[in-house]
Amino acid sequence: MSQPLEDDLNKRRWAEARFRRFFLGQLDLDEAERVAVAAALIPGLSLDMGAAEEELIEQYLDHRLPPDENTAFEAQYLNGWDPDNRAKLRMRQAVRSPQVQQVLHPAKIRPSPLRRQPILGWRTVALAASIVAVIFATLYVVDSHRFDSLLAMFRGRGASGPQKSNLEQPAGLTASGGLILPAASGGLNLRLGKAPQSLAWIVPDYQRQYRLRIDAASGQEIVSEPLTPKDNAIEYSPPNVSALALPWDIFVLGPVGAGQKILAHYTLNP
Amino acid sequence: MNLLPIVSWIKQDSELDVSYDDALEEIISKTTRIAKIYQVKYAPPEKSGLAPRHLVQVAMFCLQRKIFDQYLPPIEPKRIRSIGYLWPIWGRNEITVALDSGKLHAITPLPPENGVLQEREIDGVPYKFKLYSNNTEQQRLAWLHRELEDEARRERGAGPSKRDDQLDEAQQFVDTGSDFGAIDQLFKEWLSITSSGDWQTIENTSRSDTAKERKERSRAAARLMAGYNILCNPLPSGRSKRCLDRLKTAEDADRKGILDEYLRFNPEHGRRTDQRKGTGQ
Repeated sequence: MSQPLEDDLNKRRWAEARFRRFFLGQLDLDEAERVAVAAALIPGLSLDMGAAEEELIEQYLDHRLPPDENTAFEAQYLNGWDPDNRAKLRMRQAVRSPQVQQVLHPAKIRPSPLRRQPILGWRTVALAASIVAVIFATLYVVDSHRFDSLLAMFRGRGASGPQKSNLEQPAGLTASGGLILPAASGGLNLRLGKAPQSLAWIVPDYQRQYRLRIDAASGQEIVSEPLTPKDNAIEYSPPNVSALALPWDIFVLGPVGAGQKILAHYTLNP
Repeated sequence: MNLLPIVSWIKQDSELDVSYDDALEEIISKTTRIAKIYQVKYAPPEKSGLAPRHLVQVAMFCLQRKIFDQYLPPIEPKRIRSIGYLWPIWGRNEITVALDSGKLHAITPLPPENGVLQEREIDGVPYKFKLYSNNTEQQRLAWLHRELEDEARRERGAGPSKRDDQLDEAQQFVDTGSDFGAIDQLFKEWLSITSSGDWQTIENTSRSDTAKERKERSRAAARLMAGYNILCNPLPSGRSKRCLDRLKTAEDADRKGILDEYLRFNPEHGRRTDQRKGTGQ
């Protein structure tokens, strides 16, 4: 190998080893300048650097960055002075969004959330718990009869005999193993040990009908019949749940007759 | 800002099928990272009125003028213009330098080594100099980097940021980063003014892509970024607004072309470049 080529190779390796810290703003200015100049002058390296940046953004969106890198990333891409950085982050988020996924894959809608939430992260748990608390408190205060009926609904339909009341449920779960879907617009990742017997969703308009659609990992796609809200919530028990392997992509569609657009999307992981 | 001459000069060794748009985007994307560093180093963003991509374009424009001034040097009765420090074609094996006595002197043949110290006696006076060739793209880009650094230095204290001016009626969204409902709406609008083909192109990231595929991805990403900036960081010149109006009524298939055209003439050269005419020479 000739000397210039060897030099180029060494410079390339040197620069590649610093890409990550470059994007996280962890290099001093002189070193960052050398990396940027190397990327501009060594053939192909600029594209490699772009790919490394995309990879870093994807890792952030997947919550795969260690805490220190996560902080540094947000300082650069969310709160930094360079508008390009935020635009790059938004672009990767947009690609995952239901809006873009719907256009790219109209036949099979499997959008990913904007930024997947940490599995059973505190926000998810807290949000679900808050929703349950608010629903129950409101209903209790406003109308004890409605409270009873909602409770009955959550306890499961069609079971024979009296249901044993289980007052201590994991947040977001009903006594019968149903899942209360928390409020979300961009997409949300949830985790559950096994497929839920039913799904409940609080509706924005109790006078309209909605559908739920489930895309299971086992390949089945199930769309519910139009669901009429009861006590401001729809509930759906998919048939033959045991055959629907997790993860599920769950879409809330509706209202019926309004183009069936996706109102919310959840990914339910085992 | 017509950058065709400088782009052609830098990319003179490229394959024939490389378009001007692709070549321009490649140069800018390669150089923007350096521009950011120079800005931080010499002209803190809050004191500079130019975004890094703008700065690259300004530097390209200045370099272009330097090069082409040599093709058409102004003639003045009592002044000999210095035309020797940058020459567009090294292959002529000759370069004319201006001496401190005011005379011109042709150095020929050119020294074979690039950037090596030369010592010559001209008219009985010893001179020391270094000549840098520009017969590879790397060397030509290095010229651009030097110009970029000079531009960044000139940017220091250049005035308040344009950001104040950008909050005009053209701005469709303020990306605060925390309002997810607004971000959903932004994505919807962004999608409606860009090409679905570009989203398709950038959807999957893979390190195993060929160079051509990666260039296509880079180009698609540039168009999408332009769409984002039209919505969130519109140019005060009104060009973004006009482009937005065209994009809103265009078919999906036509949006690529409109955004290509937008990128060709933007970021705007606006006030700063106009102010700078006649400087840096």
